[in-house]
Amino acid sequence: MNYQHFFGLALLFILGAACEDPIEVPSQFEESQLVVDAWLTTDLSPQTITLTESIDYFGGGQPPVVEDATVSVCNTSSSDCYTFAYRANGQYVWEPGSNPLGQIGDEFELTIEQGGQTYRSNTAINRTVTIDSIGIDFEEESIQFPEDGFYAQLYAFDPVGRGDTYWVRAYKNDTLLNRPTELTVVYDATFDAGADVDGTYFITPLRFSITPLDEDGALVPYNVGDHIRCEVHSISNEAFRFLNIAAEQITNEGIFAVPVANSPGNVFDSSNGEAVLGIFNIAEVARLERTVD
Amino acid sequence: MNLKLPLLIAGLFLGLALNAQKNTLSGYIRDADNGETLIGATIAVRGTSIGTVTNEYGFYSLSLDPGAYDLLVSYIGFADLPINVDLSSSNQQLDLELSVEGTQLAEVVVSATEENSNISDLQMSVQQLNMSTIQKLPTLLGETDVLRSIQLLPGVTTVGEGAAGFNVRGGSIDQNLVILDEAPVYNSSHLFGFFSVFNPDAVKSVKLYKGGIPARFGGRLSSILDVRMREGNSKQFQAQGGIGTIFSRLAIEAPIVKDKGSFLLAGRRSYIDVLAGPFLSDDLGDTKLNFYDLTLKTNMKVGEKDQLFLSGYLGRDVFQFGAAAGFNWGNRTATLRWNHLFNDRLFSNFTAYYSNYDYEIAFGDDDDNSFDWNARIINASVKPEFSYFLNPDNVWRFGGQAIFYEFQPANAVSVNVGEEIDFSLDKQFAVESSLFLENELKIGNNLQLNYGLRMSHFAYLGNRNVYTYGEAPEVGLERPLTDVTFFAQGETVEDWINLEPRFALQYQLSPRSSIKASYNRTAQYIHLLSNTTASVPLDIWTPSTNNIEPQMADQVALGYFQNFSDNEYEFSAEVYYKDLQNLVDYIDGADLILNEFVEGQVLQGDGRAYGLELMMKKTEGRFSGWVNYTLARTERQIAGINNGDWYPSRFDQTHNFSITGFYELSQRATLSASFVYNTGTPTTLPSSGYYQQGIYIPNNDGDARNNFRIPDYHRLDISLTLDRNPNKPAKRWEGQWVFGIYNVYGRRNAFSIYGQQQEQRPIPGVLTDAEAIRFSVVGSLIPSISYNFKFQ
Repeated sequence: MNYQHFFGLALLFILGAACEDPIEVPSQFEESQLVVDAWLTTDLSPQTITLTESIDYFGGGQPPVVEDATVSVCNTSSSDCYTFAYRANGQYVWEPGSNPLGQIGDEFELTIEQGGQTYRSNTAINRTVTIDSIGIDFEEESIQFPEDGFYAQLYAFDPVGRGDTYWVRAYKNDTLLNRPTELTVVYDATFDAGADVDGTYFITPLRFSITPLDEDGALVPYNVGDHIRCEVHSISNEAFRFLNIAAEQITNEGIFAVPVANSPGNVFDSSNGEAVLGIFNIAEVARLERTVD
Repeated sequence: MNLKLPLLIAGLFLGLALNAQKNTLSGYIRDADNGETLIGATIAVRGTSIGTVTNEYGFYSLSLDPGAYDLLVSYIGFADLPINVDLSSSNQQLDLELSVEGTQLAEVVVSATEENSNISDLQMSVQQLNMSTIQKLPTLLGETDVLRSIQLLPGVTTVGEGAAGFNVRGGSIDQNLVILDEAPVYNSSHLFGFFSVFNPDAVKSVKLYKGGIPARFGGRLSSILDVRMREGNSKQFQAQGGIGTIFSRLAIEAPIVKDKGSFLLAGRRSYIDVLAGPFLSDDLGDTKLNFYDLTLKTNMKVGEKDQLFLSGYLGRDVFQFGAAAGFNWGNRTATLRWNHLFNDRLFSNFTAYYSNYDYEIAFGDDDDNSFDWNARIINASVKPEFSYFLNPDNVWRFGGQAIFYEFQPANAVSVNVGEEIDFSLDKQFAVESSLFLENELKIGNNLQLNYGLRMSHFAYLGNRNVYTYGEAPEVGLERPLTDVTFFAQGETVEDWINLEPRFALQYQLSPRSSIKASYNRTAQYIHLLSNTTASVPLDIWTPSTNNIEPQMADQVALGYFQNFSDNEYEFSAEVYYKDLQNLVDYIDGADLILNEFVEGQVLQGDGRAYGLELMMKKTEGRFSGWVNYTLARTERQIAGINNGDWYPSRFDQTHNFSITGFYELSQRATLSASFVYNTGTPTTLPSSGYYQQGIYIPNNDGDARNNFRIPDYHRLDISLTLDRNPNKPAKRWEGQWVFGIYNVYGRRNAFSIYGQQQEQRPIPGVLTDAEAIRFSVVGSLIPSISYNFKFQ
């Protein structure tokens, strides 16, 4: 329900005078912090954990990489441990071979040792959805559909039981739909726990998450011959909260902006219990592909 | 149960008997031209300080020792009326009419009440504007706006153009009780916050209490905005209206029975959609985008002692995009009032009102997928109030109120792949009741007191599941649900009683200067859940519950008032300090709409606001106007925000300065201008950024809140009003042209500053750019022309 889109339109009608100008603001950045990017899956492809440092948000640039850490992930359910070896660019990699990291329900601990400090995080592999189908419908131009064309919907079924959380990742012709407005996380079949809905198909605005958006947030139709690939990753409730706040913050604009809030990480410094930046999550991935014909 | 109040009331009636040796003159004071009652008109014994003013229904009661009196009736803008009354043997009832003074139609009289009343009135921290002044103020798009006008007064601020509501002395927008003929209006804006919902043709008076709030008012912490509608012309038929850039307006009024009853019907509609229609593509051709309001008021005298008033308001904003999607919201209120005179000294008013604010959203027009959602707050109330005019120096007021609330936070049904999903949230019920007693007392020639007590009670009632939440795992996080219990209909889940003492004092230092002091405690039991910079029409109200405590405030204020040059100049200085408890805030990432568990995401904490308000007015002459300056601070301390330390609230403005002036170019032309300046409001900007799976995520290291100020705001508006030429004979049709320019030098004032990421789709492995954006709602000057007319 992107009601902000409505409001924007209404304002445009009335005033047409609102404007956005880039300005310089004094940097609030003081010091860099460790960033852990440990989004793993149960796939058999190489699994990568990236360690970097935070940078000045508005200054941007290449984040410094952390090269001297020891990184391991242990399946605390089976007591198997895997060492992630340093490759380059802050990336630590483990090759699963023919055995995945674990299975649904397994619990894991991540341990990172670096600069005399130890950082730990715990997670478990959660179940994912069953993707029923990718629906492609021809729609005529309307407020929802900016032009006549084919629009794709993800028919994914959330299993019965509260508190399943997911991250939808979709590709159009191998291009990841990664605009800030395209970041889609799902709680059971809806936006959040407060909807109190469970065990059904993803509700409608979420279903369109596999159709790309343009820079103004409007849906862009598919053409005949386009290829759609979608993935639904199971994520922990902590990872959901992290991405949910991130999704709100990277699109937080205009007269109805909410206060700045931080995405809380789940990797902790063992010496003081404080969280560092980033998430450790192991996803089970449901996939489906389709070509528009 | 508190026994003091009934005892006090009993004592009061005993006191009445002892005062029976005086005779009373009582009645109503009206405008001779249209029969409208005059609020705050003075009737006094000539050459003495003995006198009284009319109340909000235009009624006065003056008890004097038996004898003959030479009295003077006066009201600003009207010619004084001398009268002789013989009260030697009995009480007298006398209705009086005042005529407009002179032919100086174009002259703006800035003062809303009697000359010198700013000095001699007991009430401090109150702001009142004449409708005629409001109508001459330069405005956005030429639309006369009651709410925007009061923002030119000290202590009243806004977070920016387009933001709904207003902030009074550091209070949030839900801490203002906006009442229209006694009925609360929950959303006082059209089009988010651009225009107020009050039709200027229907408004008689606007009074804002920002401190020293008398005991008869309650229910909100920071202010009472008392808007009263006109009764309608009881002498003859009259029509007025206007054609503006946004609205067209028409109001008709006429006597039902001459001098006994009248009605007023006023409507406005925006026509932006009519103008935009030809430019929309076919599929959007049936787009509706409008807002309108209708105001009705009737009154009827029934015998000598009774008068009935019926008022109604209906306002709506409609956004409909074809059949596929629509969104609308609005207020509805109805008020029935009965004024009854028990005797010459005991005036009573019984009010019953109904108020409803609702919004509705619908998406999707096929059978398999749709979404319908509405929410509302309904309340109904009865409110008896009595004024006993013991003698000119002693007035007692007492009464009570009971309000029944029904909150419908969401009735939402979605059809999803043919299956119905109910997102509805259970209704909430509550009853708020109060009793008050207030005494206004003059002691000697120089001292006046108003002291009173309000006792309020709020009960959060059952007929729903009640959630209990445990301690949050960490301060600032969501509280976990620990228990769900069903409470039956009428069963009290939790209730509160609060005693709210009120006190005000005025000491006359000289005929032209006085000092005033006041204290008030206020309790607020209902809260607007909103965490956006500007409130969204979708924000819902919630009662205090077992998880949300009532908000409380204590305010002290001290003021010095001085007039110069025969009351031509009025100066005031006030300082205030306000202490607030249980202010409502939210956890990071809170979801306030359609959330069954929203109570677990609410944080509560303390606030404080203090400041100095200076104001200088020039009330008459060719050049008139006012200048004001406020130095203020408003801060909050809430566990879980800003590491638990004090931080400036989103609407904190250190300096706030404004100057408003009217210059009479000729007898028919008035030039008006206003200039406003204020310190930029605080906001929070992210400090660092980092990547997760290619997503560039902002982070606010140190969790500081409101650590950055947006640039200072300043703006100049001007307007020119052309009235009819007063030297020509009056015609039945009178026209008025208003030409205006808003934001004359086209400054792009920042509404907010925020981070924005690059427009292009990020490429995996390539860095993302983020920049700070200044967002201005009004980015250029906005000219306007409007035409107003009056026909009688």
